[in-house]
Amino acid sequence: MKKVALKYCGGCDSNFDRVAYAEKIKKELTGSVNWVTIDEPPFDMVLLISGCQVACPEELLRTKITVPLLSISNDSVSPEIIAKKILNER
Amino acid sequence: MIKTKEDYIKSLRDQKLRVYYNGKPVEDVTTHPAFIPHINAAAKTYELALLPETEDLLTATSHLTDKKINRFTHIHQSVDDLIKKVQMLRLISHETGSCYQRCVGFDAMNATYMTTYEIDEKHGTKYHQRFIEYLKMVQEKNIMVVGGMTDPKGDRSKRPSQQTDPDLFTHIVAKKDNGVIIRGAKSHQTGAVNSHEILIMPTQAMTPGDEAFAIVAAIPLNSPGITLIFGRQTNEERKLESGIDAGNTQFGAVGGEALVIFEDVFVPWERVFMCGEIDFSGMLVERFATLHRQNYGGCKGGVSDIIIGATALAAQYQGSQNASHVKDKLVEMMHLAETVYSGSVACSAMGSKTKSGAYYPDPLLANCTKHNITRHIYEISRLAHDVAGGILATMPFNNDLKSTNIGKYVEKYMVGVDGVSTETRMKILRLLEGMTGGTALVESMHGAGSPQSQRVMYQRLGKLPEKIKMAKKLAQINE
Repeated sequence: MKKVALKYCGGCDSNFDRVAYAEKIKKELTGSVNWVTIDEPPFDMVLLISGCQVACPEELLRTKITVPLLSISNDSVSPEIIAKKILNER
Repeated sequence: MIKTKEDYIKSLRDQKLRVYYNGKPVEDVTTHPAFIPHINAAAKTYELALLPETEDLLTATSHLTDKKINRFTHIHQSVDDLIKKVQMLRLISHETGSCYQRCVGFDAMNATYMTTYEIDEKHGTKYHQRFIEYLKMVQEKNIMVVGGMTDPKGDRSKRPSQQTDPDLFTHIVAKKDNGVIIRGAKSHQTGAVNSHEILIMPTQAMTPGDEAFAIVAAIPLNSPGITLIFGRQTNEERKLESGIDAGNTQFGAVGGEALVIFEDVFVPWERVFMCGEIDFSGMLVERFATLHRQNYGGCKGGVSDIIIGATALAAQYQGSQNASHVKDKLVEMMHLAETVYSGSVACSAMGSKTKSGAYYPDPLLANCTKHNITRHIYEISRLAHDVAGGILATMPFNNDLKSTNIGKYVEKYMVGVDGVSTETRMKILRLLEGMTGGTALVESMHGAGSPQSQRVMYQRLGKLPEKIKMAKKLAQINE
């Protein structure tokens, strides 16, 4: 099963409900993904969900990880599509 | 180590401080209705550090131990840390709508860290290393420290050493082989009754003769000789009821302030970080003030977001939300909230590294941020009152609403638009009332220093001669 680390930005003034959005992605991927935190390596990829376009943790994350990073900073794309992207990520 | 809200509350219960409320001793602050909202607010600083969706702001990596720590115990290591502090404050305000108190100790620790380094550099003392050891303990145990700066000050026209009663400025009364004895008091100490330790600092720049008043020390609040007298707040008796009249029933209107009295309190040397170095008291005060003024666009910006939301709801519940003047007032409130927030971000972005390695916000911009708070929060509150209407100040009691005799009248005549209950409307109006009046407003005026203390800083840091020079150059004046 694919192991994905879910990381959120701090959420100082989010433009959308990051947790609800992540929950929808998780629901789509029930049984297909083993979710862990960024503090629990190794993992196959990282899903970063940020509340705005600044995506504060992204720059530092890119220097720290060697696996693919999928960075989401708005809810314009449906969680279902994001779930498919995660499954298709090699 | 304190991790959860439950750990935090247990730690408060166990430490048994000598607290007085309304003339009576308080056996357990964690079960007393006057303190529960403030404890709930401070507990958020622990709770949010454990949530994956907020930990990025609420935690940091210690530069001393490389361990993950609560950001409120961190020493800023970069401009990014300074900005994250402001973001964190706005975030927590969104959860509490009130002061969560823990920034004062955070700022006191950062100010002490950077200043002790420079004291040692000049005087060959060992304060910085002592403070590092203390800080490691704070980070490890994740305790809440209150920053104690403001002395009662007595006659403001006199120096500390000239006061009729020297205790009006906290001071050293004796030095011993193993430590010092201190006496005095610290006024309006936010969060003191639900903190573990107090980090006392001099209240102002000291001059020769004031050496005994130049003291920085960390003291457990349950030390023998310490008494805390909780301050009365506007409408605070409403907290003793269990209804909607208290407004922000979960978290209170302000942080909860206390007068902390030191009656011959012993402090061992390993907890003393300045002892008579009057040449650094001014620097420490300015650094603490700057670090604390940096905060206000974050915390008050976040609190203002709640006020704006509550104002919009109050308008919706009475059907005035589409009036053009209401829309315009909400826009103005948002403009003011983002203005104060941008000040905090700006002073952080323009922060710089001190000799100690710790980062420090731009003092002029931080000062300007807090100065705006003394005006803009009043204006935001004024607009909230304007939109909400006179009902904000004349609503019947919650007990009237619940009364079997007259409840039907309150229900009937306090209602607004269809589909919204009278109780719902009253709830939002009470929230607004509590957040925009009395103690909450005064806190915006005087917290982190009164406006006059900010105006003094412009005179010192505002570079007026440079501005005059630029004007002369443009006007081609050569004399």
